[in-house]
Amino acid sequence: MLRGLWLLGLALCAVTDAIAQPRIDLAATPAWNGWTRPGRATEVDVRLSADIATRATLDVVAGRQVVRAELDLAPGRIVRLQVPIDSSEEVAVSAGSPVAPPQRRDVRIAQSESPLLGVGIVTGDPVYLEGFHTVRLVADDLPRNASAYASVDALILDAPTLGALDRRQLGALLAHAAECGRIVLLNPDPGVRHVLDGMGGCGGRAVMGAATLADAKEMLKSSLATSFAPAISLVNIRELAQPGRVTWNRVLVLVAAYFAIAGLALMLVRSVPVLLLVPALATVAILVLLHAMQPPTQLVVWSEGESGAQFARYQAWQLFPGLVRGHTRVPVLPQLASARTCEPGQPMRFDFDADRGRLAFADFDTRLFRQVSLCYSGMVPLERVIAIEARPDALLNVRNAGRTAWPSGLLLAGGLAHDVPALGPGDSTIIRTERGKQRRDAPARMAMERTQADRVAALWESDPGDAADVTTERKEWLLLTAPRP
Amino acid sequence: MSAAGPSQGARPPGGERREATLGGNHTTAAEPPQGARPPGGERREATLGGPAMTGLALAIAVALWWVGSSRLALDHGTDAARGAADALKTLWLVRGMALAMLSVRAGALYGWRRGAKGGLGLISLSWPVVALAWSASAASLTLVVLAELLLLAGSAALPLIGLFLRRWLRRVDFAVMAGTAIGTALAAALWVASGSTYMPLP
Repeated sequence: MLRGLWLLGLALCAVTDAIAQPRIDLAATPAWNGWTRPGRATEVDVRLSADIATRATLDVVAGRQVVRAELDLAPGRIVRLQVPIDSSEEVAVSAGSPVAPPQRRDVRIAQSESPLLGVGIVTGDPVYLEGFHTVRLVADDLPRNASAYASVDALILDAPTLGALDRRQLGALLAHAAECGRIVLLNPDPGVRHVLDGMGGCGGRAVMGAATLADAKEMLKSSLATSFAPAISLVNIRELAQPGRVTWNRVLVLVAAYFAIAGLALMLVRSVPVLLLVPALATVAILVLLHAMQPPTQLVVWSEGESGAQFARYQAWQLFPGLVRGHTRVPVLPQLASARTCEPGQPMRFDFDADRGRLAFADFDTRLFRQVSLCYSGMVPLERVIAIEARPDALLNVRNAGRTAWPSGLLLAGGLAHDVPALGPGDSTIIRTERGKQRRDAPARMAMERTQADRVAALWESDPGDAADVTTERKEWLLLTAPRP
Repeated sequence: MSAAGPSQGARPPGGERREATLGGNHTTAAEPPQGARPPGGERREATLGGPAMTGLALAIAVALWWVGSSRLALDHGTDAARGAADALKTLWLVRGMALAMLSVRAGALYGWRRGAKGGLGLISLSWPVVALAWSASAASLTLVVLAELLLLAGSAALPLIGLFLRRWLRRVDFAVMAGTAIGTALAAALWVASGSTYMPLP
């Protein structure tokens, strides 16, 4: 009898426990209909729901990168997240809570060796562009994160597909247009076309309008024949930022100081315990000093645009110099867009802010001399307009044709750099082209490399005094190009 | 050649002792003669002398190489951890080989105590460089600590071999020759073993 009661009690406990356990539903869909290119960022659309209110943890693992989000699930409400991820053939999406069994979905993402042409047209007409792999898209296949547009090399969208995009998708598409993404719009709505024309980077040449699919293909072909300014590589940025020197110098000083002390001790002290104590104490002191002297984070922002354009595109790099073996957690800068790790091989964990739909923190391992970087990209409003007129005797009249004042900077013309003074709106200055200088510093060199031969450019470095955060050493440049007079 | 000095642990009358460096002339002055007193008569602690200087020179050489390679890696944007791992391995290997060659001989010449002190002087001066290189590498802390403990154990054990040789052969010059040969063989074995994949170097 007693045994029977015990069994009944246990069974009731088990049933109660089973009833209290929430059931989490998880679904994951990759952007671009499951296509990307090796090494390019993409996105996974995750839908989560639970039958009773519970707190869940979502983990998206792509290669060596993990994105984690803490979510409050309510019954009957589907939480939808678009998580930016690194390129990876296998993406593991899992969700669990302390009281619910974990759910896991494996998402396969095809990696195309050929350039990708995304085609979002409702008619379903076949589209073939030589050398490209065509991916058919519906509106929901387009990503909500601008960084995921790195997966495709060209895009054809018709008006119904454009009309079906939600606000976040449109924002990401506009950012892609500003970053010189090649987009052909098939019979777009005039309002949409106007907006995209205004946003289009590279002088608006990257955003094209076509009446027919055949026109769209021809436009893409002619557009592909001209190259736009490519993205800046991490190697170029290291030249601009020169990271690691501070750490290296400090380590060199520490090592030299230790050897000097050890040498003196060997010459002057004869006590064996003291001589053994010197390296032991020096080891402790060096490790303590390494922990104590954290050098500032470096932020390098390179913006470039065309004179008169509404927006300039920027690339930014946040460099974290490593000093000690350990784990670091840093906030992702909220004022910069499309955060990601600069090196796909770098193991990193991101915390995803589900409310804001963006990455909030980055966790990674550090060690001495290791430079971990976060990359950002996006667009900023541009208010500077430069007007350049050629005058006789190899003179250039440079005028501030915008509504805001300029700081002093450089004018790059004919392979030479000329100092330009600060100019108020409407002010002008005369530049003698033969008096230019050959600048060898990294910013001027990069500006020259990124300016086409038929254009002139102005380069400004932002005032370091603008930096509000003392733990971050900021370097910012703006490159503005204009037609050569 | 002189005969072997007093037995290990014996102290000359008066209790004073002045130790020669471990690299001294073993055929004439393995130990001070009975009753000898150093000039001035003051008590002086044993010096680490030659082995410590050797240890310092090794540490400086490896540190210079590592710091230089780290600078190159930083300038070229490559991973500095590989250079640090190489520095750790090199430091361990050169100290291990030097320890093998010096400690057995020192044990035969001067006994265990001074041989062990010399070994300690040889390996300890590299510790700050080891700590820095470990900070820059991906090597496990456990492995690095075990490697240092192995060197410490070697600095204690190898002079015992020399001491055993001296007692067994009963002549210092034979013991020193045999100790040098054994030390060289051990160093060579360490060098060969370092190329093996089974050698868990840091």
